[in-house]
Amino acid sequence: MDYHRTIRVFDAFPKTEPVNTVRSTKGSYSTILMGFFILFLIWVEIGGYVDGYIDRQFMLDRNIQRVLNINLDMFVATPCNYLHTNVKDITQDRFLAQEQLNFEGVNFFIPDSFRVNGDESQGSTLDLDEVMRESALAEFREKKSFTHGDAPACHIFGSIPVNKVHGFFHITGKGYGYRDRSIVPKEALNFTHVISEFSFGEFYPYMNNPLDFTARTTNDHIHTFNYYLDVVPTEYKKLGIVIDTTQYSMTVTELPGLSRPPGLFFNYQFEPIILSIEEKRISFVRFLVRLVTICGGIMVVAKWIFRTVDKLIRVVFGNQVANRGREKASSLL
Amino acid sequence: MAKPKLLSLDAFAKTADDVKVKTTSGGVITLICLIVTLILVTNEYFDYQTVVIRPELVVDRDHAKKLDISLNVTFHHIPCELLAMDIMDITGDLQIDLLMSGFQKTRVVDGLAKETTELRVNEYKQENNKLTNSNNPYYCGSCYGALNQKDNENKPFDEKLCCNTCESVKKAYAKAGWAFYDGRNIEQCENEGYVQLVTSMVDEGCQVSGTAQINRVSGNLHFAPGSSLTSGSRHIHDLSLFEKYPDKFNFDHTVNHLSFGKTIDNQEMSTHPLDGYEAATGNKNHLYSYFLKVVATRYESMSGLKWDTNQFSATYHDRPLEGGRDSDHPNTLHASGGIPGAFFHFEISPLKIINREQYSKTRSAFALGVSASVAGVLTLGSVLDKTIWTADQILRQKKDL
Repeated sequence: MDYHRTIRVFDAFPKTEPVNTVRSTKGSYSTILMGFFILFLIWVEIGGYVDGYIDRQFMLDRNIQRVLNINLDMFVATPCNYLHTNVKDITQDRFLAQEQLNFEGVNFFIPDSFRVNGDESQGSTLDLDEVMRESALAEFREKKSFTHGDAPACHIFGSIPVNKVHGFFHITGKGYGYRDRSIVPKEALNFTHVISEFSFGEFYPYMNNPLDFTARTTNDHIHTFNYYLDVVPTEYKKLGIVIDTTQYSMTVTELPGLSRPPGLFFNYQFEPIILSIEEKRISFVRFLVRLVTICGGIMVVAKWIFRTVDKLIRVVFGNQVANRGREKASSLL
Repeated sequence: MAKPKLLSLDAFAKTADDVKVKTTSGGVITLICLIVTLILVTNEYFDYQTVVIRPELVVDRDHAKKLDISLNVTFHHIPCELLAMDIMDITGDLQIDLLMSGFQKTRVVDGLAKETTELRVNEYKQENNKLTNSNNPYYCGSCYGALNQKDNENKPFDEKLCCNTCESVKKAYAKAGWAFYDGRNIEQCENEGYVQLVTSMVDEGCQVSGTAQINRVSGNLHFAPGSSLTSGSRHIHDLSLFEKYPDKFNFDHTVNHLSFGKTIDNQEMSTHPLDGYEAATGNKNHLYSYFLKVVATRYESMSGLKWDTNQFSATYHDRPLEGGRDSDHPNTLHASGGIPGAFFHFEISPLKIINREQYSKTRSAFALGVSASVAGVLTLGSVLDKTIWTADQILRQKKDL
């Protein structure tokens, strides 16, 4: 009995005997209402906790990286036999893309859904969830294949490892820009092209890049398209999954005539700063604190609202109305 | 009177003491609440104390600032006497042969830096110079045709073009773009013992360390064999000695340290990512390149200290001078030509990163957090307690019935 008495001293929540409290229909309605409100807010909180929040950071690339892939899948309206592809960069290396890419002769057409000549520019950047959804890694099935070299158009696809320095990948006609045994007849060239994939780094075919699903057309035989690409390495992290990829911004210029060798030139350079987009979650303890705080806060506020309303009713309608539906018993609050 | 009206506004209406009941369960709950509150508040406090780094990106507005570069590289198979280091940038500024001035060379014998037995080449020569010069005060050495000495006869002694030391002959040769080799058959060098010195050094390595200031524009710092000659846009090194021994010398090296300004050891900083990087192929005619992108950075610590430094990211590349297909990547065709050496190309980014150490919470957020968790726990406790008490009451009433 003594032990009970000692603990009892600590009771910070003195209660009132039920004889001294009053119960009302109004009060119980308010309690139920408040209960629902609390449940709703807890539901929202749990949702927020599970979803987490997006933390954006940037830092410098600490890895001493040497090579990086360019993944491409495109159609050019010139027969494969006449095309010359190459990569050059400031190390003065030449990457003989011709030997690594796949060339497949096809008939040229521009699919309907493609954006032709830069209309309807799409300005959206991918958000984290989209990236996670589209993060299926892939590899091109073939390597170094060459078929139907004389078909009217050429389907070029594959991945080429390039030095991670400023450089350019280009597709020209044979004999233009590089010495070659034969010079392609001018009439055979047309650099109208359709790009369905152009990305740097690991090959995530479903991830959308600014150049994907675009097309550019020309009626000239001698025409130069210059693409300037600024590549920013980007890291997406969620639930322990890390996706190391790149984003790039792009500018296109076109030069008709022979001021430069005709063809497609992709100038790329790499930014030193990595963007890191990470989904984070508050710690569980902090989540609990938030729940507790919200419940407590609502109860306190509800109590005051109830009292205020009760007082207002008393003032406006008189005690009789206010006391309707009362009975003596204990209530929760 | 106004007082009673004001009293009726009391939001904290109290229950009169005589109708209050204290219970054991209430006491237990109070204690639990106290413990939970304590845990939460401590947690809140640790959260508040945690230091996080918040990066911020701004455009670098500092102008006319120089870039400090500090460097420590060990070349395992090239002697100090043969090694030259130049810094060039796109403004046309050229700092030639820095190894003669701002940088220190340490001979590396059998893989160990000979700090103690180090014999600085320059000192060695100076000692010997005195001997030659003291013999004859009007001595005017021949430059062996590297400088135009024809008019010397008609000039007073002060204006004569002379090559009195091995060093000056070497410089004259470099200016003329002549092959100097190791100074054999050049009287000054033979006398000074330079030839023996160089010959004794051929199996050594060299460690280079020091700092320099460069313009904040793109450029390169390179190590190459032999003195350099720049005329117009051409920059040539004298490879004669390097090529004299076909089976010796290569540019295999270890980057002990490379930074642009103060280094900060921090997981999120990249002030010296190349430290400890080894590049070795064993190939004599080989060109090593590093492509560095430098981003100005300010680091602000909690204690209010600010450091302006630079971070950089690096890409490494090497190629044999004979060019041709890479052995590992058969589709890569290396360019041929160039000089053997180690090149550090740097590019300056227009952006500046400010990394700020901060408490993860502000003081007011901490105060808010503490009071919210205390209040929340107490409110929930009171509800819990009331519920238990009411249940207890009901049970007791049933028993009585």
